[in-house]
Amino acid sequence: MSPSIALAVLGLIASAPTTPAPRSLDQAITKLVNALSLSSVRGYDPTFDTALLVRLERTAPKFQARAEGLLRARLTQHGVLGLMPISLAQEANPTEAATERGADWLITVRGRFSGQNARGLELHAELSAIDPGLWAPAGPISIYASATITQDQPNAPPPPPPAQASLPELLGPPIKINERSSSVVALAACSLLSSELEQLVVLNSEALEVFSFAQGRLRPLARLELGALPRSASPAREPLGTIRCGPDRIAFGHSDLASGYVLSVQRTSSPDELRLSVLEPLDGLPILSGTGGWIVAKLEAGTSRYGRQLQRSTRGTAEVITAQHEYLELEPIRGQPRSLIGVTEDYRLVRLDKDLKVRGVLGTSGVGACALSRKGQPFVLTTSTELDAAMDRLTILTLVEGRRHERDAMAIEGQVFACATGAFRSPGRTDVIVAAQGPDHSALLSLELRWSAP
Amino acid sequence: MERAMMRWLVPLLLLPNLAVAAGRTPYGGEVVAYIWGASLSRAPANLQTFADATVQGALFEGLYAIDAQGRVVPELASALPTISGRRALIPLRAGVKLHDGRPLTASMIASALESLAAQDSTSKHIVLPIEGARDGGPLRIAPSAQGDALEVSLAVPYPELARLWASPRARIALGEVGTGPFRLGPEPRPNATVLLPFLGHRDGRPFLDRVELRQHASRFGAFSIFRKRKASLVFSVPDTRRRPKGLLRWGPHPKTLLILSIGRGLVDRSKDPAALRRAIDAVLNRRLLAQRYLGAGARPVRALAVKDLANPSDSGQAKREPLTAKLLISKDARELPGFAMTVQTKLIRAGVQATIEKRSAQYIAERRRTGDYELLIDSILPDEVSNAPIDQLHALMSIAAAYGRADAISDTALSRAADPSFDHKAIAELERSLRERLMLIPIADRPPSIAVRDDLRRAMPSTSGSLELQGAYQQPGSKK
Repeated sequence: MSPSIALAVLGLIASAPTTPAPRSLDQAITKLVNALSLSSVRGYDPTFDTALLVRLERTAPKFQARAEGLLRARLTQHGVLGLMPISLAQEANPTEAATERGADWLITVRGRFSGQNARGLELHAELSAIDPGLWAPAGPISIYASATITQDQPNAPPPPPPAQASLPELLGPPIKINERSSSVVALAACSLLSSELEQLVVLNSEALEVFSFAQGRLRPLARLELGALPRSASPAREPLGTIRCGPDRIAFGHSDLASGYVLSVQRTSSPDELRLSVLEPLDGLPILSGTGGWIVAKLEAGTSRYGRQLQRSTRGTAEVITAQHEYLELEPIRGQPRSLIGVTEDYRLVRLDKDLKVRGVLGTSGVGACALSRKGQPFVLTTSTELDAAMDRLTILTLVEGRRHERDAMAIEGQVFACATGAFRSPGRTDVIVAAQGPDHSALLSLELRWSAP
Repeated sequence: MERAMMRWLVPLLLLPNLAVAAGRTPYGGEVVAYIWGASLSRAPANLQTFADATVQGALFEGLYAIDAQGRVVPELASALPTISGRRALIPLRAGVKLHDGRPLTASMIASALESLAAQDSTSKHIVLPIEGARDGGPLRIAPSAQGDALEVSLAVPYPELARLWASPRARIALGEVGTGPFRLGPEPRPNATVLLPFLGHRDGRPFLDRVELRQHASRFGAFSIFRKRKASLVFSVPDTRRRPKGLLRWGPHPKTLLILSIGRGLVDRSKDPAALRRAIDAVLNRRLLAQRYLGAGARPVRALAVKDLANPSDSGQAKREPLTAKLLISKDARELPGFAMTVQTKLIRAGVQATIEKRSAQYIAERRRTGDYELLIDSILPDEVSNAPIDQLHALMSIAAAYGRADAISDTALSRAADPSFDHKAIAELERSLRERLMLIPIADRPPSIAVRDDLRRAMPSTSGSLELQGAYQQPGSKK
């Protein structure tokens, strides 16, 4: 070969275009959409109006945008023409936003990085029917198809630095562990036995009951009938109540009763039994215990709201505390004995100190919220302020340096009116028990709260 | 988009009681309701309309009630009665307060029931199974020694006593004082009824702060208020050819029954009253009357009860008997004027030359009870909660009582109710016999025409014909 031809060949070789880097995100999304197999979903027609919601955890915004664009392109290729993207950042309730915009179906794509060096992208997609039609009754959302794939993303940008608040995860599905015929108004985790486990105290219109967990089931330990106690002259049509625990003590109040009570809790010879006896009445529903006494509240004129005038009794003297709001709920923060959360009459969630002064607005919540603290940081399990097709929604919320962090946790059937967290099943585990009110009964549901690794 | 809009509008129109609520039901709200037609009656014994049933249901409670599943549940009683042969024991709920703060006692309840046995009562059927009722009282009913129960001596064994006493006409009223979730407030203007929450109710105060019910004399005005949605509630929305949109959906029971009856004044003058009744029955074009004058939702009927069964026609060959008569109708009656005039025209074919006379509702009710009239068209709201034979029997009893003839239901008929063979056939026989004896000609039945604006939530229709207001609330931010 002459030198000039060799140079020309080398030049050609040098100038030949290189093979582009593997488009692994595109491949992942193509695999995912193929796996959904939309054309074989019975009842689904790609011409239906379909909303698309993409939720990738801890990814750079550009990566999220790229993933959304690719999903839209692949779905369009599969014939889904009436696609409307829903932005998580702009919608508090994406499903509701989708139906309001006329979508019949919703494709939800969730993803997160995991695995070595957090380069494995797990994608999960669900196709759900959200609008059964004008004449069909509203009900729980039906999932018609789902698919999960995992693919390495060597070219993915590094994830953003972790949020300072590491939100726990609520593991479900909720499991019904008990049912009560009358509305459960309060739940609490109390340490009443000499063990590392806590017991569940349940208050409804009929009785105050104490349960322990054994082999995944509730076992009754004690029961105090409320029928014989003096009734309130003006009960609330939607009852409410409080339970507060101390060493060998349970204080409680119910809107049906004329007074609150402090009970003493005594062990008996049987390990499966406790005895409850009334120690003293309280002039209202116990809210917070203090040195030598209680802060108690009364209801506002027969309504389901606490009146603004609370009373703190200390060593025989009574002092009136005027709250800034008529609260719908006042719950202590577990692990922070002098702090409370309150739900105001307009469903703002606030943090209160021992004098019931507002120390911060955390967000919004319906009633039935509960709070616990971990390493000094309070976390609140909030509920919806509106029912969505007879489902409530739990959200985990915390505030770090003025910034709110939320994680949409779990849909619950019914309306949650009470919640408690505690080590019911095993010492290192945090269980959540919620009381969800249905048409004619109250269900106790159990979930686990899992903390991410430090 | 249109589909999305419809998805919101249609449920709001058809089912304005969608329970989309915040975490707690909001308290407050002042609701205005308009009633067109007959004046409101606050006395349960005089219940005639759905508006009556609603107001009385807010103010008063009975020993028993029927729940949404059609079951009898105790209300002022603490449990179902214990019935042994002809003795019944009704345990009473303790601690019930009246609106004026007095505790409700067994004596007060006995007294309220006693008043139903009076001669001028149109709800005598409520106490018919009790010994002494047929003689006009006193009833064999008394408080127990401890005062915590009522002891009742029955004229016949009647196991369905609780179901009979679940009638809205059996609600316990001591004048205008009751135990219901609402109490009467001061009247701001004539012909207005104000309901305020009763803070001492055993279930807690209702959510609404105030309900004002205003009587509206004008058909046009009432329809305008409904159409322009100027009030949260409108009772007796005037009929139109097509059932207006926005009316509350109602179940099959109860419905008001329109009845043409022949009174003593004409019976005494007729040579063959039974034939006269058959002749009039034959000439009435019920379909025309229902469709043209009573609006959509009205249904022509030939029977007082078991209306869905094919009842044999009462018509037959009858000689026309020339008679003249006054046809009484209430001047508040919604079916004016065309309905009555059409009936008048048809009566000529039966040989009866009738002149229409319009009178007050009270006059009509009194005449109906005494039978002192010639011809009468009236609306009755029977105690009919279902098609079950026992409920159809109670419906017939209530109709008989409304015409002052509760005694037309014999003890034999009552005792048959306890028989396992008591079925619709037995009811049909009783119904036919009642129709003939009381000279009643049913024309049509119709559901209530109640409009509920979407700001008023959870106002639930009940089987007793009332709209239950105790759980209702007003959407925050709504205008009156």
